[in-house]
Amino acid sequence: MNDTRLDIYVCVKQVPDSTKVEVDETTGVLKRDGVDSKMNPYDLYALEAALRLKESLVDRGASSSICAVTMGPPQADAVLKEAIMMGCDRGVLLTDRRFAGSDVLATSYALSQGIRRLARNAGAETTIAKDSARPAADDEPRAGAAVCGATGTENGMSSGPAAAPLRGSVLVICGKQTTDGDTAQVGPEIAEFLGIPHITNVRSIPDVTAGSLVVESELPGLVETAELSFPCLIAVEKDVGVPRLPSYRRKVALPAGAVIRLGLDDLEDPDPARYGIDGSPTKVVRIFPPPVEGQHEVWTGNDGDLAGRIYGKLAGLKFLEASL
Amino acid sequence: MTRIVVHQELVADPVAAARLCPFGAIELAEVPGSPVPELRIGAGCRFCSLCVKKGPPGAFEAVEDGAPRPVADKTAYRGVAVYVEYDEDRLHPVSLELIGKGRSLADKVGQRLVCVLAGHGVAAAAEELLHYGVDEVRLYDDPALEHFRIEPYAAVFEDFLRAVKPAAVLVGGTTVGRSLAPRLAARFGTGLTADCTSLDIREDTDLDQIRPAFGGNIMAHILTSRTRPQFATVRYKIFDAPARSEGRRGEVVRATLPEGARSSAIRVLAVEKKARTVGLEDAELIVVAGRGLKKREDLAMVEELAGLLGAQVAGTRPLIEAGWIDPRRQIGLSGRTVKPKLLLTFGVSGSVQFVAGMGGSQTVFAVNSDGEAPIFRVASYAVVGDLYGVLPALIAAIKAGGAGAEVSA
Repeated sequence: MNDTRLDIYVCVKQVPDSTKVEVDETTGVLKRDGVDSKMNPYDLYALEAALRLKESLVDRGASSSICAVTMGPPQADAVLKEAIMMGCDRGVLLTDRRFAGSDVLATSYALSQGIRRLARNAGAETTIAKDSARPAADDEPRAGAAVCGATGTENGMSSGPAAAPLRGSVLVICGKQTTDGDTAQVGPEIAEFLGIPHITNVRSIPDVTAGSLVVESELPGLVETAELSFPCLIAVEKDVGVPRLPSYRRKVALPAGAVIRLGLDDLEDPDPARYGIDGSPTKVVRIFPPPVEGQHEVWTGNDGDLAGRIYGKLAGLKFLEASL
Repeated sequence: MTRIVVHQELVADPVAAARLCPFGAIELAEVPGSPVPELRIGAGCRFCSLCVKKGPPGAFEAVEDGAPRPVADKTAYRGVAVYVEYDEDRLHPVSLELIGKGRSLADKVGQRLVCVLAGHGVAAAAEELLHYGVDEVRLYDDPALEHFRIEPYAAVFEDFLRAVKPAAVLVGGTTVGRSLAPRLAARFGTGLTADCTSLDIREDTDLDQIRPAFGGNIMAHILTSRTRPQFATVRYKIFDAPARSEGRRGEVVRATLPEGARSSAIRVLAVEKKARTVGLEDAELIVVAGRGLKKREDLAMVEELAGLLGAQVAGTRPLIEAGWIDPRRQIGLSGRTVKPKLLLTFGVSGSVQFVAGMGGSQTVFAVNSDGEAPIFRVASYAVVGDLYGVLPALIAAIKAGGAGAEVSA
């Protein structure tokens, strides 16, 4: 392992451009305004943080390489190209029909497996494209792998032997959350699957060396400054810096093979029972419109009664805790 | 392996069928030599089964092949666990709310409610929990737990879960909870449902979890029925905290840190108390003064109400221009855009420029003596009354309520 180089992996996601999603009450069908998609806005800050770290390392004579990683359908490579236009060195798209239907656990596992695969190849980048991973232009469906029977464990999930912790000068950066899932859970789960420590709510990165970084993070009522050594994962807040715009020059210069694609069979653990809907312990059994909020009432009466009604409603909505 | 199979011959209109999918995962593929495209299920499929239910009869079929998916022995996991957070010098209120909810879930299935508390010098806090209706508190009190570092805390949480084997684990949706819960859910290879707004429990201890999805426009009902334990996080102020009872219930069990739990790749260099100043944009509660206020001194009432609610004070443009309120506290197109959970306005007419800055507010109370004021069109509660009568009475009611007095609404 070359200790003067830091390999940074930034997890990004393509999300719907509009949050205006509604349930048609009569048919129960989800209605979306158009199908436009974009990079999850929080991920732009993760990319910016990575780019600044790289610049800072290069200034000190060290080096760094940034790879944007996403999982999604083939068209999700658009966010990887955008990441490269911002300054990332390359992008990796995890795509496979067997990843479909992934919840947080299956998504995190797939991303962690992708990062493991890339980190293993980091020293020999040229081999990965020639290896089983293929350039993104290739669009034919993958041949199905033999379906392995899931092995049961005591708590109901199939799991292979515990994987060894990731080693080396590796930093994984995630955004705070996504605008569609909104769970903010994928980062810590990836860290767990990689066997590396993590810090969330990072608002600034005052220092970085080839071996560690210093971060400031928000805790309830506190700001903590901590040093953590590589490999590790951080999830960043918007405070890390205003994201730069994608460069048109970089778009034109986008080299063939800058975005590569990995499928299930390219991963260290190709057991389909751990991915997609089969690897997802949570199941959405129903979606429904939220309770009607467009509440509108007109209250009249004497001032004292009106105040009493406001008080009663504020208490009912739990807005009076601070006064207790 | 679960998959959706398309029976092309049953699809009369492939383009319409492709449109069924809210995730755009039904793809139209050209077939050489055929004018009719073929439908394929792409990687965007979320298995919502809408196509199965709403598509042409029989055209989309959900198929399970291969070995059946393993299911946990649910009788081996019993009870409800709550991860209790000790924040600075107090039990975090969300933890008490979870204890309240956890108690009712545990009672419903006739099982135990067990809490875990980790930290340094938190023994008194563990004792305090016995006043809130828990059966047991596992206490990990160790200098290694003084600061929140993920490895020791995760090790302690894991140790607790292996010892107690609960069916369900409730964690507060705080910075710490959102860092710790997913870590443990991944360690146990189980499901985590974030930011639940409603929780119920079935006889077999499956949790009925409801949470907002897609930016809050849709609610999703989620089950974790194959694996144990089930993790759920809940934000502050979703559930009710139980009242503290004088009597004590349950016991505190001291536990020791598991082997190797003290090591961490994280070195805490400094910890600084955060000044609790919240910008207007981040404020969850805002009280707004408008030009219905007759003189500057009357702002004191608005400030008093804000103080009682823990709310921020804001103003409309006329008050900013008059110099009564700091320009950083102006709501509107030329000021700040706010999106609080609660916005109360007093003497605000509701100009277009003001409304543009507060349209995202969740619940709006507007007090104005003019029944035709435009603010009433966007208010959840349009209160037609004189602020000089309503505001002092409201302040008095809150003060009386805070002292435990009954106030008839």
